[in-house]
Amino acid sequence: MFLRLAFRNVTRNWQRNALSLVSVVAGVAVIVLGRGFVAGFKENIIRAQIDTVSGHVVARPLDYPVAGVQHPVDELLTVDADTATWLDANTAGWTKRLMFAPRLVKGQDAMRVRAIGMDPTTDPTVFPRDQWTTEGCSVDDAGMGLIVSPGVVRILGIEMGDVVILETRTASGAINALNVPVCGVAKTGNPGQDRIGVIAPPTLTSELVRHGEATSHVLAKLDHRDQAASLAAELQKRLGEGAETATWEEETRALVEAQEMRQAMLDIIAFVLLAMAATGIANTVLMAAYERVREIGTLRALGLTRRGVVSLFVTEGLVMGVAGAILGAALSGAAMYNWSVKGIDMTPLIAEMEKGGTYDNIPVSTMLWVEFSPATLLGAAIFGVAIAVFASIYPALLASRMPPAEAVRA
Amino acid sequence: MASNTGSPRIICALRGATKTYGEGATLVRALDDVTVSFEAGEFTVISGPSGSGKTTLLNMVGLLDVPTSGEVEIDSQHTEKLSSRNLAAIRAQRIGFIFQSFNLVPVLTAVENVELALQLSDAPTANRRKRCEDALTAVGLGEHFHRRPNQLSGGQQQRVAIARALVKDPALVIADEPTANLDSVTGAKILDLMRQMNEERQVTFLFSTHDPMVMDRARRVVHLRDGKVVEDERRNGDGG
Repeated sequence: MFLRLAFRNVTRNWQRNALSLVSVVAGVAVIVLGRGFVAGFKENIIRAQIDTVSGHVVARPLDYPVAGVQHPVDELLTVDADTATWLDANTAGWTKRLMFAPRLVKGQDAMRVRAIGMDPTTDPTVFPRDQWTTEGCSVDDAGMGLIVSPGVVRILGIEMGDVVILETRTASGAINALNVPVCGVAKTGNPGQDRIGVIAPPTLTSELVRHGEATSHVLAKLDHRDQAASLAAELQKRLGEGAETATWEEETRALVEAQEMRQAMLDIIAFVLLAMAATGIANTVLMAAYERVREIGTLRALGLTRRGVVSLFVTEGLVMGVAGAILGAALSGAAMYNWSVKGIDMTPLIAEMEKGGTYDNIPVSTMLWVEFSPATLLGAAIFGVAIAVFASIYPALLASRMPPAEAVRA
Repeated sequence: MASNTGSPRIICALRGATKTYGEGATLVRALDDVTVSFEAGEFTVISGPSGSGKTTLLNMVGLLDVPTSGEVEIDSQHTEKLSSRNLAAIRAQRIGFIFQSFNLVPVLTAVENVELALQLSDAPTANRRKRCEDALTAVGLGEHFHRRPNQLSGGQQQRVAIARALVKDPALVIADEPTANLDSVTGAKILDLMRQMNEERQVTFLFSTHDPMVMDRARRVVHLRDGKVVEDERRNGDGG
């Protein structure tokens, strides 16, 4: 009967209660959407980092700079035959990349670019190209041609077939420069690379940097990414003190921490929304209590205890909380499930990021799969209900303290 | 339970009951050392001008309020030291209330309003709905079980209130100005109904009223003035 009474009292003033309900719906939805998106972004960044920058394990020269466009080639790594065989046996794929930072000159204009010298045969075993869009030549058939990124095309006004000058230091420290034809444009899905990057095929890289068999990066992909730590440790041993290895987890830690900060901020927003919902519900229940003084008096006269009055009004808060939580969880859950299955096309956002340059070093996949988590859904709904119940306790206590003799004749 | 062989059973008794409000110069004695008892099956009116203490006396008898000093007994049970919870339990099981403004719960139907009283009295769930329907039928609302208060006339609402008060077979029914919001014809019918219930079930009715129609039907009138019992009049109560 209490539940029926509470439900009917809630629906009796549905317009007023709807406002409180909307706050609960919004609070629950922000928790679900916020957590799902942040988790999705986190996974997206991790996957993009693995698929476009580091693989599961990366080895580079000791104290190699990891920020900015600094890619020294004076201290490089050498992978001996034993290590190569071991990598063949213990990874799903591995490759070498020589990163260098030449000046790219076109006529009167010049800019520092991030160049990747890659092996077209082994590189795709670590870095899938399903998100690449290319125009003109590919890295497989570029020969001595250069593949530039859309950002470089935009900044220097390069057209296909233009001859540009690439000027860099060689591995031995000499200055070297070559006239190079631009034969292709490639978009890799890594915003930093797509803004200031170029891809050099092996012949061109070798001719420019004169690095022989040495390389700046050794990158490996595994069947399971949680095996990365053990492979990184073994690779470290094999490459010696001149090298440092890192797992995908270490490489993305700062970005993941930034996402966790974002998560915390979203949680705060959700908390503020639910605090507003709590205020709304407290106000609604308080108004209901003051409007229904005579009803409270009558129920007390009929034998309802003070605790019973508290239960009645808390049940009304509970009904509002449950309704809001179910609605919020259903709406946001449906959206999250849909986006977790179909994904969200991030191309427009990435285009904005490329323009701004703020996220130069943050790789992002073009598709975002948000995380659909039933546990988060349930947790958010329970939290919403708990807030509603908590908010109704104070007005319920006030209602229970009304003297029945006065209340019954109010 | 009191059962003095040969003498009527006392349902409710006040002994030296005093209720004061305020203090010092503003002290008001709403009830002043009142000693009165009510027997099983009485149909009694508490009468007096406004401010004479009628409502305060009914509040004491109905255990909605406690006296500042003195004793209140319900069915020989002293109530002064009972907790709020125990007082609520006695109200739920032994006392029925009928109010001037009917005081039905607006979101419940007629039968649900009656059932609420049974639920609060911890009556067994078996046949609970049947008992409520019988109670409503007894007050002439056999066709209106599922109507909400706003779909009923004033007289019908008061009938629901009577059914609600009587459904739990209380020892005592307290009716505070039960006809004040009804026209005279409806009021008379309601009073006749209560009188009928009183006679059929031997339920004690205690009224507070100014209504001469109620006074005419009373078998006992207790007159109050300035918080004191000034006259206790026995009648045959056949008026109307």
